[in-house]
Formats: sequence, C-alpha cells, structure tokens
Amino acid sequence: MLTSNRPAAIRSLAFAICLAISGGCEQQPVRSLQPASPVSSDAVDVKLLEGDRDTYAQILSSHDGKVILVDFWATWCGPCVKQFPHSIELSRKHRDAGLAVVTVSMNEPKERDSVLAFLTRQKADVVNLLPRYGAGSEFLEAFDLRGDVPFYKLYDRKGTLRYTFSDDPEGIDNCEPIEQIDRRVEELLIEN
Amino acid sequence: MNRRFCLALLSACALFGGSSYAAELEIGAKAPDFKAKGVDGKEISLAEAKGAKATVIAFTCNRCPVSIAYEDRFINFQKKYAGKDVKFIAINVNSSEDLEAMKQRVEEKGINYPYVYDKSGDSARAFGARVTPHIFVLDGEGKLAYQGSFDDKQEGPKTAHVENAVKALMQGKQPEVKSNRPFGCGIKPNKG
Repeated sequence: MLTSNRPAAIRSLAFAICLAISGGCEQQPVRSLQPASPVSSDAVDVKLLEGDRDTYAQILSSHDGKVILVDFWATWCGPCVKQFPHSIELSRKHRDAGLAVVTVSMNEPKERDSVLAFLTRQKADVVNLLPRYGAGSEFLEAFDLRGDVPFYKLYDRKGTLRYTFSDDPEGIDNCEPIEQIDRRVEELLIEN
Repeated sequence: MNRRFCLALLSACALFGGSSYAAELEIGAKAPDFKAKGVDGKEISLAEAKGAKATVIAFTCNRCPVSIAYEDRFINFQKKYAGKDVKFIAINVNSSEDLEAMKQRVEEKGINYPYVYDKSGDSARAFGARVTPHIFVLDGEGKLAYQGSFDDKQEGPKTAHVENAVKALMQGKQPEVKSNRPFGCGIKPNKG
C-alpha cells in the first residue's frame, strides 16, 4: 500500500491507517502533537495510535513489502526505556532500505499523555501504538507475548514473523538475545 | 563483537544447565525448597508452608511499578486469608535491591505479609520466575497448582486468578485456571 519512503508518507501513515480501519476512529485515535505555536525546524511529528489487535494487524499489512521491527515496551520498564532509542536509530538508519519500526506500549490507556511525552522526547517518528488493553493477560494474548518487556518481533518482507528478541530468550522458538537485532534486521533487508 | 558476546552468552547458558532462568516449574510438580531472609532478619524456607492448604509465593520487588501496583492487592489478600490455612510469601531476588530498602518499603507501605530477600536468586531460577510480579500457588502437598499473574489486569481486573486458585484448594479442588502469562518487569537475580 505504501511504497514510498518519503518522510511525508511515513508521517501520514498513522492517519492513513486510522482511515483504513472502519469504525476504529470514534475516539479520535490520532491526535497531532503539534502545538499551536510554530514548531521548530527539527521537530518531528510524533503520533500515537490507540487501538487493539486489529489495529496491529492493519499496521503490519500496511507495511507490506517492508521488513518490520516491533518494539514492545512500557514507560515503567527500565530496560525498555534504555533500549528504545536504539529502535528509533534503526528506523532512521534503514528506513530508506525498507525497514518499518512499530512500537507497542504496554502502558495503561489512561497513561496516554506520559507515553506520548516519552515518544516525543525520543523523536519517535515511527508508528506508535497504545493498545486499549493495558498491562494484563489480554495484552499478552492479543500480541502473543510471554509477559516480559522489552520484547521485539521481526517480520520479513513477506510479512512472516521470523525472529523475536528478549533479554531472556531461552524457551521461545526463534528468540534471540537483543544484541542480535541489528544483524537480523540487516539480513532480512537484503532478502527478497 | 556482538556476535561473539552472543555466542559467549549462549555457551554460558548451555554450561549452566540450559538457562540462567530455568524453565517454569510444571503444574503438579513438587515446589523446590528455597532459603531467604525476612526483613526481620529471620531465615525462612518452604517449611513455612507446612500445614497450609494453599501457599502463595509471589516473586516481586521494591521498584517495578507493576509490583508496586499490586502491593495493595497482596495486602488485602493477606488480610483476608491469613489465619485460614493460607500462606503468602513475597520473595525479592533482584540483585540491585537489598533488605534495608525492603524493610523501609514494609514500613512505609504497611506490608503485612512476609517479604523476604533471596540474594542468591536460586529460588527464582528453581521456580522459573520471569517477571515481577510472578505468582506461584502451591497446594497442601507443596505441589504447584497455579502459576502466572495475580489477576488478569493491572487496571480494573476482572478475574482474580490467585484468589480463585486458593479458594479451590481450600475446598480440596484443583484450580480451574492453572496457568497464565505473568506480566511485569523482567526479574534480575544474581547469576547462579
């Protein structure tokens, strides 16, 4: 659907996804962060989608043909916060080569403001999702997670889940230490 | 460099019998014994559970916001079930914390259950605790009857998994829900 790599296209992606999901926009899932006063030239447009597992599926399918790295995190999780800038860095580095970074927060929906503030500080101009579930079983089932964050999922250009990454990869198929993310991203980017 | 680190990590895992964090204890398996020190300086072990119809072992800590969010629930649980053949023991294994800080937390929060420190981290490895909070409920014979989260959701829980398990055990039954995925902060014990 979105084949252009232009930043403008990426910036408008969140809105496009919102439009694409019929009935998913009652509560204005996309709110622009831009203040009323003029923004400085280096400001990035950070958006935070609200939604559920369907929104997630929609995000994945909207990036058809790209390698997708999903960062599951929470503001209350120290290691997540520490590792988060790296995901954004990867997005900047490989965006033109076809990497899409998606972040999914395990925070509570009512913590939207602090999540958005964090994303803004991180200049997280990627697709950011705050699911309606909050921390709990529903969240873990919806995204098929073990329960500890940070947790990463890496999909290839065909949309197949190829790797997951964790601090504690033992016991999960195809789960590797977080240090392996860069290498696997680069491998999948050169795959057809 | 990363790759070498990773290989070293993997071989270290293999050396120490699979993982620094063992796989979860299976439902029906005999719970491993542990040694830990209470904030009163007293050593406790699984012998503490003797005579109880149900024993709740909660791996938790001082700092994780999810653990903190559950403290009131633990306190209420203890109020309700202490003296009813039900034991509740909270174990902290995080290497970055200590008994002194735990003692302070007990005082400021009015924690009414045994809160013990296992500096070795062995208990977490033996149970297979992955996050804080991660709860294990043992039956009267010291066998694992439930493992997972305390309830289904940090905000506005609907299903009290641990309480349901304990109620079932008090009636001489096994819990209906025996396992689910715990959510919270990654557990960080000293390496074994």
